[in-house]
Amino acid sequence: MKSLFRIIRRYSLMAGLIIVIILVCNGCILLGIGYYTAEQEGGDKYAKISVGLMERIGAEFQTEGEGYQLSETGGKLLEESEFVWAMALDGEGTAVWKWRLPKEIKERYSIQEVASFSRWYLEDYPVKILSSGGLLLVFGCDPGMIGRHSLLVSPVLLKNAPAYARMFLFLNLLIIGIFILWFGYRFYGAMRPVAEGIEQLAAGKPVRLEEKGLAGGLAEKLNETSGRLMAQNEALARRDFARTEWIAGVSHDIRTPLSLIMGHSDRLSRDGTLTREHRMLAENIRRQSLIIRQLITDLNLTSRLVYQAQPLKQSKCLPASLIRNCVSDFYNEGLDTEEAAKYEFEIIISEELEQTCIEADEGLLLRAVRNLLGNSIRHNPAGCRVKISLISQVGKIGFFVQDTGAGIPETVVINMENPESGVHIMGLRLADQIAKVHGGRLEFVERPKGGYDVRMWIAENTCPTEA
Amino acid sequence: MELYERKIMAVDDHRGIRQLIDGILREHGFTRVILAGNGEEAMRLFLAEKPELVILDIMLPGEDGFTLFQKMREKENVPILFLSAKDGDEDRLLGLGLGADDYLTKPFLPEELVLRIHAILKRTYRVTEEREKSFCIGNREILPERALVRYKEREVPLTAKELLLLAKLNENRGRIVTFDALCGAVWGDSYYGYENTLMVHIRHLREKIEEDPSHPRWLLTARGLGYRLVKEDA
Repeated sequence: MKSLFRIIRRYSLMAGLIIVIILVCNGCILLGIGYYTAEQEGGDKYAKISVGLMERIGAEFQTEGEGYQLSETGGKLLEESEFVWAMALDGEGTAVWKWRLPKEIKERYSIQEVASFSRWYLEDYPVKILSSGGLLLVFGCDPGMIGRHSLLVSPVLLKNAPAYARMFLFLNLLIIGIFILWFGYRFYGAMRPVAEGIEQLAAGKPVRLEEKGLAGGLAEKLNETSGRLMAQNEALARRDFARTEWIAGVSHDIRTPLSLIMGHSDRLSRDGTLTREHRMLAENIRRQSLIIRQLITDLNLTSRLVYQAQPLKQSKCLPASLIRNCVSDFYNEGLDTEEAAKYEFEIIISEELEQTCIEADEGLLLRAVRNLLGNSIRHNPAGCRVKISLISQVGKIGFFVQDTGAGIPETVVINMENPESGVHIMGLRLADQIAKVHGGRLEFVERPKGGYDVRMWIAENTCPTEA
Repeated sequence: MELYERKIMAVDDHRGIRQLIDGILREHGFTRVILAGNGEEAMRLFLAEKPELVILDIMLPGEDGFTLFQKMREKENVPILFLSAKDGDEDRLLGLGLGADDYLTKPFLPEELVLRIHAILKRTYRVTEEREKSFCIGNREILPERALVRYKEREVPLTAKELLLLAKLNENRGRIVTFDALCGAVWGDSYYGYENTLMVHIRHLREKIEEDPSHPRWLLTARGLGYRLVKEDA
């Protein structure tokens, strides 16, 4: 749900940002266009016509009898200016001097007419006027140079215009913001069940959403997906269960005949009426049947661990004691005196780790360590020295098994995660599975001269201290 | 009554297994063994023969072992050991949860079965036979009830802790008993730090049971692991 809220928040911020950017862009474009137009179309030229120029032209008027004449310099200035025509009106409103005066421009004006065109146009010609030496000089510009729009504004409005502009902008942004939040909230409301559904789906739970509203289509698809996933999960669970049960069944069926093989071979191996050779043969059968028993148990356990059918029975466990038990078991059960002589076990446990107490499934751990030690023994029939050390890292505790024999071959290490490789390493795989259910893993340590030793790491779930 | 005179009944639908159990028990000195192949026969023999220990399979034709167990317990509170090919934890827990004395999974080693039967019989009937009470280590006789080691008319007392250690070692005679198991037997669960004390007790024990304590013949050290009391016939 947090992720959905984040999405909505980001969406609202983005929408706000986009609107601000659009407003700023609009302002810039407007200003740009205004400036460009003024520059290109003449508005600016009109504004640039200075009063100074007009005054200089006005100063060039000379009286000539009863009329007025513009000097040569004045005429030159007029030629170079932006004006297209000009006239000088006397106090009566009569044009006493004219320059390129168009036909439609009258030559006599009343006071009202003068007052009118002085602020506006004269026959569509934008005009500029100047009073100079008793004359009213009227300069006409090209009609296409500038447009003027008259606006009547109260002084209060004009005075408060910046504040109004700010308020206008603020109100606009507020309304936009409210709409963004409102739509965001509605969108959030519509998407929330979908997001919850996705989260449930990710957690492996079934999903059943109402297929209506904005996200109705999505909800429908989600319901469909959930149904399909649930069906697949059920099929997988049924298959896993069937497989586990099948393995359990096979191992069960093997157990009874194996009991007979083991029991009778054991009795024969101790039967004094038989020759030593026959007793040895019986002993061999007994030993092999023990291996088969171990394999069946491993196979059964490994399938239960793979299909998560093995509940973890966590209890207080001392790894140091577990190692000693395991090695003792090898002497007590697996190895007779002749065999035992070929193998030497060395246990290395620091004073600190000797006291370590963890929460773990002791039975499973014992099996894993047995498998690691058994690996050293099984693959070195000529005998070897096996060293087992208890080691630790931050939050982890490890069982490090090294031997002076051949070491674990590279093929085994490479194919640990590949059950289809055909390499028979069930014992090590089982140890790996046990390590994994204890939050750890197997680590293979390469020897300088080839071959590997193995470390089994598990999470150090320290025992709660007793009050 | 002698331990080996106790009447033991084995119930298993597989004739081979019945014969195997019969052979193992007789070989180990048990003389009164009754065999049954199904629930009906088992109940009939149970009521008629009144066995003192029952070895019971779980998967039987007709009534299963768990049902049979409950029926037998309703009649008589005899010790029952489940011997089954069902190795699941749930079956083991169900069996022990019902109140069975032990649960052994097939395939089993004959010695395993015999040791468990011994333990159950000793626990249930608190065997008082002389041969169970005292035991020999070489030419020395250990008398646990009197906490003594007897040797050539001489009697040497054993301390309580030495007696506990010796009992634990004798229970597992021929096998290595780890420091942890020995310390646990003497000092309980919180035994850490008692290893050195254990060594002192073992030294004193050797002085009492060995001809030459510096070169022990019976109470041997398994380096880094624990101690082993050598079997009489070794």
